[in-house]
Amino acid sequence: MRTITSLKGTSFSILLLAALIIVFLPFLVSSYYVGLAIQVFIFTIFAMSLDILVGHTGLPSMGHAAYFGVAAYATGFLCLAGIKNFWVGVILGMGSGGLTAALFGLLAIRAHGPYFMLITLALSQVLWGIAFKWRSLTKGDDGLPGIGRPEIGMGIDLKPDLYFYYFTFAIFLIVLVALFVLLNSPFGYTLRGIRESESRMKALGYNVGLYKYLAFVFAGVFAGTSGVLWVYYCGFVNPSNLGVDQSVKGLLMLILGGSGSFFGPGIGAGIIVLLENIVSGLTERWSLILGIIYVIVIMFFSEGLSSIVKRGH
Amino acid sequence: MIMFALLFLLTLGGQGIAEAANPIKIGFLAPYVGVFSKYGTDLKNGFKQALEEVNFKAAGREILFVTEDTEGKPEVGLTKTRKLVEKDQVHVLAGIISSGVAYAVKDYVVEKKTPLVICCAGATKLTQEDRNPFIFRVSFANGQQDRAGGWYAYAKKGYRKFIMIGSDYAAGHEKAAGFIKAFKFMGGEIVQETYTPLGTTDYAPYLAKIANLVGKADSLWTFYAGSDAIRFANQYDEYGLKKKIPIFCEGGMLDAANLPSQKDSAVGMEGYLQYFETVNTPENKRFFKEYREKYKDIPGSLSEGGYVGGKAIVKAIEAVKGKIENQEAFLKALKGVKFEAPRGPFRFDDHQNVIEPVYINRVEKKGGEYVNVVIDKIPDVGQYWMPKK
Amino acid sequence: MAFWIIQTLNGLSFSMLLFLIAAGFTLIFGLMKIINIAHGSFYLLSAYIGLTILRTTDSFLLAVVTSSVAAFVVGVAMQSLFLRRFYMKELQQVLLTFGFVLIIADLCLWVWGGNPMALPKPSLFRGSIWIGNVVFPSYRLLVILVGVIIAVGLWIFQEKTKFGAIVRAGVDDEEMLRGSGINIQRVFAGVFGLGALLAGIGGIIGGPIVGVFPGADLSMLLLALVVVIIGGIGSLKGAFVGSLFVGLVDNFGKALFPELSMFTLFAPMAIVLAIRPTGIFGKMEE
Repeated sequence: MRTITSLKGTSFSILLLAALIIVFLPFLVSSYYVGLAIQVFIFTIFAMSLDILVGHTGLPSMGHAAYFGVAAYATGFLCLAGIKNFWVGVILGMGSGGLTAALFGLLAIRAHGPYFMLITLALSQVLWGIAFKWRSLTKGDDGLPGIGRPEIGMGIDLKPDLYFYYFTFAIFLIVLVALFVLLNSPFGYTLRGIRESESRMKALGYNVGLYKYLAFVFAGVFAGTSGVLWVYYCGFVNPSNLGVDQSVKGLLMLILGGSGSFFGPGIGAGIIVLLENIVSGLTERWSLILGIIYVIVIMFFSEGLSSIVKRGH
Repeated sequence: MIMFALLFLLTLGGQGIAEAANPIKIGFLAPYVGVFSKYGTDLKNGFKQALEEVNFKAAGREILFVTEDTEGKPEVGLTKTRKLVEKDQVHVLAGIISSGVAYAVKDYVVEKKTPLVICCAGATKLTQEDRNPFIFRVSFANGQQDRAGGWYAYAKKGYRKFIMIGSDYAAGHEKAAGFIKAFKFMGGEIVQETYTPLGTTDYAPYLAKIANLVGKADSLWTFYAGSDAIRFANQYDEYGLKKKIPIFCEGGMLDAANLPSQKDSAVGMEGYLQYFETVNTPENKRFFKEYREKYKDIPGSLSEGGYVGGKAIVKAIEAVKGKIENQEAFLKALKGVKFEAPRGPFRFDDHQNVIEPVYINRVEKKGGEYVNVVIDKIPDVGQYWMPKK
Repeated sequence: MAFWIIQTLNGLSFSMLLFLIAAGFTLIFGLMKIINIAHGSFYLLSAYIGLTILRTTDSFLLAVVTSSVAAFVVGVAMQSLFLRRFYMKELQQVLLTFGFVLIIADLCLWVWGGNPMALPKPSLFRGSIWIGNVVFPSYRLLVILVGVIIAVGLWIFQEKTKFGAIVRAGVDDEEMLRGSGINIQRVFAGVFGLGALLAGIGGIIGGPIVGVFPGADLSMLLLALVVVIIGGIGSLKGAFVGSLFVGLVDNFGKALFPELSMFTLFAPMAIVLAIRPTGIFGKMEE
C-alpha cells in the first residue's frame, strides 16, 4: 500500500484523470452507464472491505456477503418502517454489518486457511437460510420491494439517478479516504505483518488474534456501508444479497483487479460489473463465457495472490 | 489496466448500433437460466410467434424485439429493465414470469413511464392495490382462476373436503387463498394446508402426512411449477396416493411443458387453468399447429401467454397507426384491445388485467402421448370473480 | 405405526443420497483442503448424461457406469489440468471451481435445455411395496441399499487398502505424505476423481427421485455443506453420521413442523458452528 508521498507522479495524474471522467460522466454517456457506474462505486467499496481481510490480513473470507446483506436488510426494514433519513440508515447499516462480523469473527478467527474459508461460508449460508425461510419477516425469496431513495436533507432529492450518482461518489470518496488512512496506519502495517507471518508477529509480542478480529469487524462495517448504498440504489433487498454468489463475486473482483493494492478492488469491481451487464446483452451463453473468463484470469493472472493464504505454519 | 480501458471503450461503442430507421422497440424480460428457464423460453417463443405473424411490422412500422435474462431474480430483473429502458430505449416492456421480479421493477417502470405488459407473473397487487395505467397483464392475477376452480370443485365435482399443498412463495399463498375463498363460500371445508419450499427435492414427508388423511378428505389441491411440478406428480403417484385421494389442482402443474416428464403419473389428474393446448377454438387450432411446426414443441400456458401479450401490443400499435410515441393514445388503445386469443375471447378489465375463460382438464394418454383433455369451461372470469351460491 | 416406518425409510433414503454427495466433498476437502464449489456440478452432469443414456438405451446399468465414469474423468481433469497448478493456494482453487460451476451449468443448459426432467427408474424397481395401508416405492429401498454398500466399500477402502492408508495419512498430515516419496499429484487426482465419481453416482441414483434441472448443482452443494459441517470436516464417518442426522431431521422436521422446514436444516448447522466448528467427527489442522 503506498503512502501519500509516493502518490505523486503518474499515479496522481491517473487519479486526476479518473476524477475528471467521473465528474463529467453523466454528460458523456447515457443514463444507463451512469447506473452502471453507481454499481461500480458500490461494489468497489464492497471489494475494498473484503480486501482488508484478503489482501491485507491474509484471511480469505468466503462469507463476506453476510455483512453486505444484513446491512441491506436492516436499512430496508428501517425505510419500510418510514425512517428515510440517510444518516440514521447508514449508521444502522454499518453497525449491523460490524455487529454481524463481530459475531462471526468470534467463531471464525480460531480457524486458518481452508477451514476459515469453510466456516465463513457456512456462517453466511446460515444467514441466507434464515432470510430465505423467515417469510413473515423477510418475505423470503420474493424479497422486500418498495424501498425508496433516502433523504439527506438540505433540500436535495436523491430520486433521480443523476443526483444519486454524485451522492454515491461522495460517499465513495469518504470511504476511500477512511480506508486509506486505516490501511496506512500502524494498524494496517500490523495486519500486513500478520499476512506475511503470523508466528513472527506473535513472537514480536503482537496480540495477533485481536488484530485479526478487529480487521474482521472493520471489514464488516465497510461492507455494511456498501450494502446500505446498494439497497437505496436498487429499491429492494432479497436473500441473494447474503448468498455465496455475492461472496464469491467479491473474491473474483479481487483476483481480477489485484488484491492488496490501491486500485485493485476498483478495477476488479469495474470489470465484473461491466462484464456481467455487457456480455449478457450479447449472447445467451453469457454465463459460459463469464466462467471461461474467470478460469482464464485465475490461471494466468493470479500470481499476486500466492502469499495471502496462510496455512498456519 | 489496459483490459479495463478496452472494455470501457467497447461498451461505449455498443451505444451506436441500435438506431436504425426508427423501429418500434419491444423489451422482453424472462428467465432463461434457473428453475423456470423452460417457462421463460416458452414465454418468449409464444411472444415472438405473435410478432412473426405480422412479419415484425405493425402499421407499416418495423418492430425490433430485444430480450434480456432476468434469471428469475428480482435484482437482475431490475438491472436488465434499466438496460432495456435506458440503453436500448424500448417503447414498451413485456414478459416477466416471477412475481418477485415484477414487484421489483414496478416502481421503476412507472417512474420511467414505460408501459409493461406482464405475460405471466400473477402477483395480485400489480393490478389491484398497486395498479397503474402503465401496467397491463394478459395472464391472470393469482386467485383469479382459483376462485373459479374452487367453485367448480364444490358445485360440479361434488367435493366437500380439500387438502391443500403448494409452493411456499407469494404465488402459492395467493392462489390457495383464492381457491379456499370460493370453496368455503360454497360450503366446503379445508382439512389441511401445507406449503413446501421452492425446489423441494423430496416430498416424501408431506406425502406421508397426506396419506394419513385418506378417508378424511375428497381431494387434494396443489400448486406447483417447473421441476417441483414434475417431482410432486411423480412422487404422488409412486406413493399410491393418486388412487386414494384424487387431485384437482391449479392446472399449471399439468402444463404441456411438464407432461412428457410426468408421463403415467399425471394420467387421471384434473385441474383448472386459463389455457390448455387442446382448447377447442379455431384460433387455438391454428396457433397450436404453427407453434408446433416452428418450435417442434407443444405450446403450454406460458407459450400462449406470451403470444397473447405480443398480439395485444401489435393490435394496440395498429390502433394508433404506429404512433407509439403518443403515449396517452397508445395506453388507451392497449386498454381497449379485443381479439380472439387461442384461449378464447380476450379483453382487459378496468384495472388492465385480463378477463378470460377458465378450463377444466383431465390428463389422458392418447396414442402414446400425454394430453390435457378439456372437459369443461367457465367463461368470463375476471380478477374479482366470485361464485354465486 | 406405518407412518413412522415410512418416515424413517424416507429419511434414510434421503440420507443415503446426501451421503454420496457429502462423502466426495469431504474427501476432497480433507485431503486437498479444496472447497469444491463445483461438487454439485458433478451431480448435474452425471444426471443429465444418465438421462440421455436411459432415453436411448433404457439400460440403467449402462447409465450408471457411463455417468459415473464421466464424472470421474471430469474430476480428474479438473484437478490435474487446472487445480494442480495452485497446489497449496486454496483461494485460487476455490475460485477456479466457481468458474467451472458456471461453465458446466451453462453447457448443460445449452445441451439439455432448461426443462426440469425426471430420470426414469430401472424397470425392476418401478413398483411399490405395502407398508401398513400405504405403498412405499421400492426404488427408495434400492437407494438405501446402494448407499450402505458404498459406505461399507468406502470404509474398506479407507481402512484396509494401501491407497486408503495413503489418503488417511494425507488427511492427517500432508507434509508427511509429501516427504514420503509417493507421487502426491497422482493421489490428489485419484481422490478428486473419486469424489467426483461419488457425486456422479449420487446424480444417477438420485436422478429418479430428485430429478435434474438448472440449479440442481447449487442445491446439492448446499446440502453437502450442511452435512459436512455437522458431521465433521474431512471425515468419512462424519459424512455418514452427518447424512443420517440431516436426512432424518429434515424428513421428520418437514412432516411434524412444516412451517420450520428450512430451519431444520440450518439450525443444527448454526449450533454446530457455534459450539464445535469442526463438526462431530472433524479435526482441524492447527
